[in-house]
Amino acid sequence: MSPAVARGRQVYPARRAVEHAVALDGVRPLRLFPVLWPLWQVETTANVYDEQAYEVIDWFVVRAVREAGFHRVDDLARFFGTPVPLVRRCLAFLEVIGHLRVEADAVRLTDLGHRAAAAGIRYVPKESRQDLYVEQYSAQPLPRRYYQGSVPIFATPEVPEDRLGDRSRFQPLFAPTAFQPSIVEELARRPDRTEFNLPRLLRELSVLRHHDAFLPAYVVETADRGLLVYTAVAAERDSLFEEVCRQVPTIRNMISAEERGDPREIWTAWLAEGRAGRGTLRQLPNGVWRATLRADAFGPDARLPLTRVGSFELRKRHFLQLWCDDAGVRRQAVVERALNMTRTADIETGAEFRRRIAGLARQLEVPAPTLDELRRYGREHKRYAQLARLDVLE
Amino acid sequence: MTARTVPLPGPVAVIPSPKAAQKLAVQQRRSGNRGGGPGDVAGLTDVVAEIDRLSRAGTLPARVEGDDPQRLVVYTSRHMVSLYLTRRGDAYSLGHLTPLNFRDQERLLRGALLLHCPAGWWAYHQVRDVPPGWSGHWPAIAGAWRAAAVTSPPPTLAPHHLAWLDLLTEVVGATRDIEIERQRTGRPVPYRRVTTAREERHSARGVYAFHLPRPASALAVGAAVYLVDEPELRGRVRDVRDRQIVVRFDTAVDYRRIPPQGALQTQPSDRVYRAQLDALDALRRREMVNPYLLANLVDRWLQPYQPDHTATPREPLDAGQLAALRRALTVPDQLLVLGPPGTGKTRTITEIAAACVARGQRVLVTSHTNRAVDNVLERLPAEVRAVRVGNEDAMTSEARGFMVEKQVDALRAEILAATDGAASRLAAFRGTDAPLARWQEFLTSQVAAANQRDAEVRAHTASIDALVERLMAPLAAAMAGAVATVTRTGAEIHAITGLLETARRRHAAADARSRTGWFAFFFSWLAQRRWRRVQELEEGRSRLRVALAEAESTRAALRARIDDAVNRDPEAARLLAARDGAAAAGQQAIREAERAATMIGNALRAVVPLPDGPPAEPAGWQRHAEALGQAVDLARRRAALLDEWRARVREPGEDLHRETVRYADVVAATCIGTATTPLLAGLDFDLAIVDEAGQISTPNLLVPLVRARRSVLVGDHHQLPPFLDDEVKGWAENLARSPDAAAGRAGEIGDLLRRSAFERLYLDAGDGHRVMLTTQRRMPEPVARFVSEAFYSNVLETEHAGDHHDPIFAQPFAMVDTSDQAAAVRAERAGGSEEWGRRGYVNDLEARIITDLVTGYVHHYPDWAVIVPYRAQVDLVSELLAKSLGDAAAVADRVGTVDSFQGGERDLVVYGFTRSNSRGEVGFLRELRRINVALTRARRQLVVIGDASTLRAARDEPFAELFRLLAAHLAHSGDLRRSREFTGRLAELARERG
Repeated sequence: MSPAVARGRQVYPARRAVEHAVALDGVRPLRLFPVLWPLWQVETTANVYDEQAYEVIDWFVVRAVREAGFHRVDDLARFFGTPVPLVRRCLAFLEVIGHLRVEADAVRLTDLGHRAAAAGIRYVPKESRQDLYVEQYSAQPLPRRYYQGSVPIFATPEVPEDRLGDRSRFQPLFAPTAFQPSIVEELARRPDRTEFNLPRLLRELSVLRHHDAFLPAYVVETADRGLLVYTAVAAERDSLFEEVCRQVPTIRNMISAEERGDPREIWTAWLAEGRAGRGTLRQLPNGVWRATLRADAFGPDARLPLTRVGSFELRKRHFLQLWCDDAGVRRQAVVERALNMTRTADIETGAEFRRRIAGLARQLEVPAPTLDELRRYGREHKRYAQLARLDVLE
Repeated sequence: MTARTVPLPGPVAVIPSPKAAQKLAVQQRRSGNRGGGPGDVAGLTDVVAEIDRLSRAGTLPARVEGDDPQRLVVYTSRHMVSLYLTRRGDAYSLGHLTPLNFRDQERLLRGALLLHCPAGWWAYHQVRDVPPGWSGHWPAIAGAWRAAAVTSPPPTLAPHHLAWLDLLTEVVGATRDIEIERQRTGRPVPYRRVTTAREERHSARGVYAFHLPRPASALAVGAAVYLVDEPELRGRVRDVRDRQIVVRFDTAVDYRRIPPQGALQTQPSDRVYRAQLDALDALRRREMVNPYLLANLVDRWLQPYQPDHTATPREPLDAGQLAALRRALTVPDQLLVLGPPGTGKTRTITEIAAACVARGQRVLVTSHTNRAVDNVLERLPAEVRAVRVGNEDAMTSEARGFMVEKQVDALRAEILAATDGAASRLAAFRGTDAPLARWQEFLTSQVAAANQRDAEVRAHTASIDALVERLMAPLAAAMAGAVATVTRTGAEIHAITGLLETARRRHAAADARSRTGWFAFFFSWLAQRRWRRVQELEEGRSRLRVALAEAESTRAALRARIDDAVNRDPEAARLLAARDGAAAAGQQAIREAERAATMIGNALRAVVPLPDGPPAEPAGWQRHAEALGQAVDLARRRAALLDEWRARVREPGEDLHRETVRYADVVAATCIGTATTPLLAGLDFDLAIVDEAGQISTPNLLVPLVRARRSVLVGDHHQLPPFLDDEVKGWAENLARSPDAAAGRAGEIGDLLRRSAFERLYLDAGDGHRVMLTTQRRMPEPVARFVSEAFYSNVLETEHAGDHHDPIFAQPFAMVDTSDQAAAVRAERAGGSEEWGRRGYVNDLEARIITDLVTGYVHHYPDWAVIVPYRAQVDLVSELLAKSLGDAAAVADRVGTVDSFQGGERDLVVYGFTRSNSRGEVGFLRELRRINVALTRARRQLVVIGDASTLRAARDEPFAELFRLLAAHLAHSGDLRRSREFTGRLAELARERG
């Protein structure tokens, strides 16, 4: 089971990817494709030495072989005055943990046995199993950051309903490549293997089995036929997967081949449905479609919550920014969303928090609120949990 | 699923169809790309080229999308391409292509092949252009496709396995909560005084008696308790005697820490549930020793194998027992052995354990109860090293002999006795001041002296040689001439002697032929001529001999002159004396060294291997002394190690316990004990033999099974089922009634609680993984026949001596029917409550008859038992019998409900049904498995007592049916007595005995 499945983290919402993409200078994002990126989850086994204290019989038996020149089972049993089967079982145990060999009744310490006896520590080789993730198209192992619990990875090409942060429908991708154990062997030889979640202490690494795993990602198509990729690893673009997109034409081809639809038609129809009240539609210079709604369309009792100001609506792989020309409403939306942000799991420091608020304010074209302002607003609206979190972040 | 690579051994031909070319052109125009006109087959060249490139690299994804027509779909970076196999199977026609989209990806993820064709794909205009002998490799592709459809077991926990574990976790959690709550509500038991207890000790754990102000019923033997004022002092109730409770503490306890007055409190313990939850966790983490355990238990998936047909038991076994043994030896995962009463389960288990041990395997013998574990342990052969772990109070006295503490004590004694001799032999090698060390020093010094003397001898000899040379200098030239003459003349004589021998041989040859033959004259002439040559040579040699004698004489004279000069020289005399003195001293040193080596060798002989004997050459003594020194060092190391070992072994403490368990052949513990005994932590087993598995709940069974590579479950689901607490049962029933409960889930929980894993597994296992023992040797044949028909589909066979000598009954299967008595006399009455809060019943008439029967029969069958369904009736019968027989303790061991008797057997078994009413109510009797256990305990005589009118008319149809069958068997081959007549016969019997 992947750690993400165990922890049940949600897939982060598509809007975050869109918000980031539209804020990029010189980029005209057109469409968004939620995909499940194919990985190999490779179960590996390796040896690691557990350091244990010797017990009584094993310690003396090892010493009798090493110091007192005994090499036959019967001689050992006679010397210690124990039944032969007891010594045999003890030797079998020491043989199992690789400290000695018994061949034709002759007992010989192994290098490990000598080392252990010299150190007075019973090194017991333990099997350590761990999963490694490998990107399937390029067969490259994923760096350590992809192993964080916050990165959801699924064993099957589907995202369970309760794990979806929004209504994104993820399309699984297929990579026409076969797994080769040499991928892991090469990784084991790399000097920087620890950066790929493979600690040095693990020796004699080998592959037990592998199976498909899927990483949710958002691929954003831009006007210049470029592809931006977002994964849960970071709030920014995922350069590793963007590079794979550049190398593998299939993904680009498939996205190009998808029916485009006319965004004006899509959003006109959406407005006509009346979910957001009346509004006007226009395309911004960076290509992003924006619906400007009346100030009273947002608010606790209105059709849309205040937090939706400046956020994106997604439909048929296109996205539309919901806007309000009233800067006061937008400012309040920023404050509201900033307070909610305090409880976001991936914001752990005050600096990160301030950076995110600044980005949000820029997006909504208003000055960023100060922490004092946030506090005042929180107190007025009795948002004590957020206030407490705000204190922690500060 | 992961794609499977399919190698294609030869080139593949593709014939692009005009229709496909047309379609491609339309697509390209739509997307604004270049493209040829309709029918431009050449437009497909790029597509085929990409197929070729991908396939050569082994990365051409493909799916088989139909068998008729045979359609292969391959995927390029832009297209999904449909290829139809030609009629001759030698090529594919490229019939259709569509732009690649996300749905294709989903399809590929459901199943895909990766075609690898190093010879490449080639486009042809017409089918007839395809070179002869080419192939579309359809069989290889279709075969790989079919194989890929067979899914391999999931590497992670399958969802249904996870669901099963969740279900069990819920059951264990609920059971734990109910039990802990029950324990928590118990009140502390105050005590007034603490005294030492007169108890058998098997370890250093503290045992004390607590004297109570009033009798305590809240604490039973075996209960875990702690002192309210010293909660760390925990132990178990060992004995309850009126106002005294004996507690054996878990550790050695400082007596002064025990408050003189205080209270004992039952310790809420979740150790059982913790062990069960740990086992479930181990399964969740896939840390079980048998990786397929979940598949075995949940999917009933068991691996095929061959029994070991060559295995022979130590003791004779019947066919079923032998089959069980031979399968148990090789079964890779799980074997289920159904053992009806008296079919020799324990013997079979013992044989399996011994045979596996002989194959070097570590075996766990386990069961739900301590008694079952001990039964097996007691019968293991002596050469098997078995260790019993667990609560000593619950063990039989024989089993205590196998306790780790006892084993370690015995081992200590054995070690110290066995190493005593070696220790005294090695005593000489302790320290460095011992006489041996002095002998070693002496040897070294003598060897050094011998070497010194040897050097002196060599130096003196050299000086003497130099002196002689100097003294003989004036005569040197003469001497050299004499020596040269002697040498030369000697050589000449040697040469002439050779010639002479040849001449003599040749003369003899000619002489031999001169006497006869055509050429005799010639040979005669030749012989004479050769003879002359012989004479000449002889003369020459004689002259040389004279010359040699002269030269030798000259040389001797010269030497005499030199010797004389040396003898007369004072320096030479001194040197000679010194040399002879050194040589003598050297020989003396060697003799001393020999003496020292002998002394050292004598001391070493018994303790280390000796180096090869003393060298012939004085020069070898250095090496010999070193070898002896090394042997002494080795002996010293051995002496130190043995001293250390003996001291360590003598040390009290638990140092040796863990290893004694680890190096044992067989470990015996209860299921829960397997997990809760620290000594067993981290220990795996090659085989777990689980006895009485039919009585073991699934959570309990998992505890030993997660620790074992293979398991043999021995049990009988027609006997007692797992114990089910009433409150837990209530919880499950509530769950089933709850409106939001999934019916299937509640049903599964109910089933998990009611039925043992053994029962569920046995019924689903294939014949290779289950064995039924069918020959019973306990019960007399008439009893066995009834039991076989009622519970075992008539498959039980009997081997029983059948000798029947009973004072009253004509058959070993008998019933005393009380329906001949007035309803008021024979009727049951409500009496007390049963263990699980249910209503109990007593029957005075039956109790009296049972008492009279046992009292009258006790001399005939000293080994007897009374089994009744209700505790209240147990109390009544025990009371009456105790009065009648005067031995309450003996009665207590022999009267009980079936729970106390499963696994046991008695010569005489009396079973009282107890229920007698006009409503046909039979209560507990509904549980027919309990009746099975009760009736199958009898070795020689079974007597059932009951009101046939009530029992026959029971409202519970299965029971009524069973009773009717019992009555039919009694009528046919049993002895059915009316109660009045029977009590009359008993009275007569008593009178006859006076």
